[in-house]
Amino acid sequence: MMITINLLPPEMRKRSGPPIKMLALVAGITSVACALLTAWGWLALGEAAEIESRRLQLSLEMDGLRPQIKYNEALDAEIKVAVAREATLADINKSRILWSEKIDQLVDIVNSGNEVEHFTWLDDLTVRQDVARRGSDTHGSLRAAGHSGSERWDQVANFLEDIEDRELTDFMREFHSTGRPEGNINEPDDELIPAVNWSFPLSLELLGPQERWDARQASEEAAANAAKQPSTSTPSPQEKH
Amino acid sequence: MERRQKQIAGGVGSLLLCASAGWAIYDQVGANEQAEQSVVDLKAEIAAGRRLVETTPEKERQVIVLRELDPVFAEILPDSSEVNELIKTFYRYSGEAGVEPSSFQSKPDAARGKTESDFSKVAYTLSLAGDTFQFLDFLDRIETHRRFMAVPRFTLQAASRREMEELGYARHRIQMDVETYVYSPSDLAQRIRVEGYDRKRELLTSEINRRRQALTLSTFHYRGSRGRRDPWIDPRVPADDNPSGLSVPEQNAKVEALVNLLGQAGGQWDKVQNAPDVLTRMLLRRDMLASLGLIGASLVEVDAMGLVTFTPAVKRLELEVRQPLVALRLEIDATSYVEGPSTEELEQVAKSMHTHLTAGRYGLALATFAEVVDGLPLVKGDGPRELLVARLEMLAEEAEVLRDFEAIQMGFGGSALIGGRPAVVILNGRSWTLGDVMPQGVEVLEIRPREVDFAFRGFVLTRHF
Repeated sequence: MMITINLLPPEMRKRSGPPIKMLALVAGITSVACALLTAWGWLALGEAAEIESRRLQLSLEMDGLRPQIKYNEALDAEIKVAVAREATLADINKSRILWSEKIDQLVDIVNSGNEVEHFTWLDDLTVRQDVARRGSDTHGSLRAAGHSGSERWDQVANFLEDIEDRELTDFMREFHSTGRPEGNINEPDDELIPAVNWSFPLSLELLGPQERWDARQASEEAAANAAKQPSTSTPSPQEKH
Repeated sequence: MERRQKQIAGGVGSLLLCASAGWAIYDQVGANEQAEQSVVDLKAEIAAGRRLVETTPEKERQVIVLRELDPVFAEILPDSSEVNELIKTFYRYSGEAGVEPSSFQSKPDAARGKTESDFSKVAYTLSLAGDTFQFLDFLDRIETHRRFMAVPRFTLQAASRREMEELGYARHRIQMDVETYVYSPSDLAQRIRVEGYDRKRELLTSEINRRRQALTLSTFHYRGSRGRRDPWIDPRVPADDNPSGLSVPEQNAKVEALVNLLGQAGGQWDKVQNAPDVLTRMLLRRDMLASLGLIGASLVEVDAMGLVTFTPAVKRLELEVRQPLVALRLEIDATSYVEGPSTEELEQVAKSMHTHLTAGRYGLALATFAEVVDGLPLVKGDGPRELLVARLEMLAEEAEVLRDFEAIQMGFGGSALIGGRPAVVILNGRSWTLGDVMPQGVEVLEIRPREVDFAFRGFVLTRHF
């Protein structure tokens, strides 16, 4: 085994530097650190600032838009309330039936029999207009107890036919069909003319408000068209009979 | 060793530096992404805002139209201060229609407080009495009131026959619900100002009018009873209140015939007005006046003999014959160049009176004369018509004398015609000879077997026994 001993005084000895590998490592780490710091700097000061600048620009734009949006929303709210109000009034109006018109038409129909086709009078009248409940199709009814003053009990059918006759009146516009005629003979009264009379029920069910409204619109349109063509006008009850 | 430690420390420090820088980058990337996302969100918000703002003009239009409908709501529906007015309205309408109210009760609104709305229902139940046409009039006034009112329920109970006979008119018992809605808008104070409102409203006039039209209440024009019978009155007539004994169909047929005759006369009048020349017009006018005379004579007969007693037929006669006849005569008179009845009319009346006199219907002859008597003074100065008037007056006098003479009771007890002795007739239990004057101013002129001539008001009249 050989041992090398440097006997030179320290100032004469050859200076030993850091190893090359160490230097390369330090340089590498330093480069990476610098690169990373540069990247961070670019992200933090470059890109982030650019985004912030765009955001600020858009915020300004949004601030300018906000009063207009608020105005629009206020209009929206007002429309919502007013449209609901208009719809409510329209519904109220649609659901109304002009009973003066209906009863006037019923008087026309009773009189249209001219005491020959039918000779009818009524004991009572009950009209009930309901708001339909969920799951129910009942909108109201018109009921009356009628009499037909004739031995001919088919006159009850004549009367119901006249009720349904759209050329005579528009009475049935708001109702479902009359149904089948029924009747019972009453005790003859020889002190009266005519002595014989038949009792019969008149029972009609109302259509729903929208159906009634549509029917009314259609009827008014038809009437307006008929008015434009006087030669095709429908005959009055008196003319018909 | 110290150096070595320094190297290690340096290495660790460098690594830490790198790690910190890496973490800072990572953090910054995250922050940047977040910032980028907020920018994207802001862009989306702006885009959405812009889209919303684009709808502003349309919404402004809608708001303007809807605001302009507000007066319609206010016009149709009462406000809360007007609710008491309803009762005053009902009171006024009941007086105008002739119905007799017996009660008015307020009905609570079942839906009140359950839903938020600008409308609150006000309802009343009215009880009243009247005939169908009075009720219809009342109902029509309510339904066509300038404020919205609806009648969702009512009942009508017909007056009894006995009640009708006692009162002479129908008092049906009626109960009806009347409802309306009070309008109290809640958003008036919150309304936003629309720039250039008036100018924009001007541009929307047609749309506003269309929407207002759609909200207009439906109405019905009730035109009264028009001669129709009340369906809730039992129209049967008592069998003993029918002097002519004509059945209901026979009475109706009689009225129908007169209606047809009047229709023909109306057609003839149209032809008269459209006649191509004077001669044709005169001929047509003569025919038309003959038709009118016939209708007049028939009406006289109907009245005198009580041929039409069935109420609906009486009403129809009034509505479709008497009233149109008067109207037609007025129209004819208005277009007539001469005043008073025409020659043709006078001739027709004379002919009709003569027919009645010949048939012994003196009352009918006088009634026919009465049809024209008011116009007779107007023919003064017109020679030919004056002659006809003189003839009519003579016929009327004859009819009057004959009617009165016929009314004198003469109970025939026999007569004695013996040669050389004055003839005697026994009347009302007393004997009368020639020249005797009976209490009613009847003078005995000549007595023949079962026949006596009398002088009565300047006429010589024969009574057969």
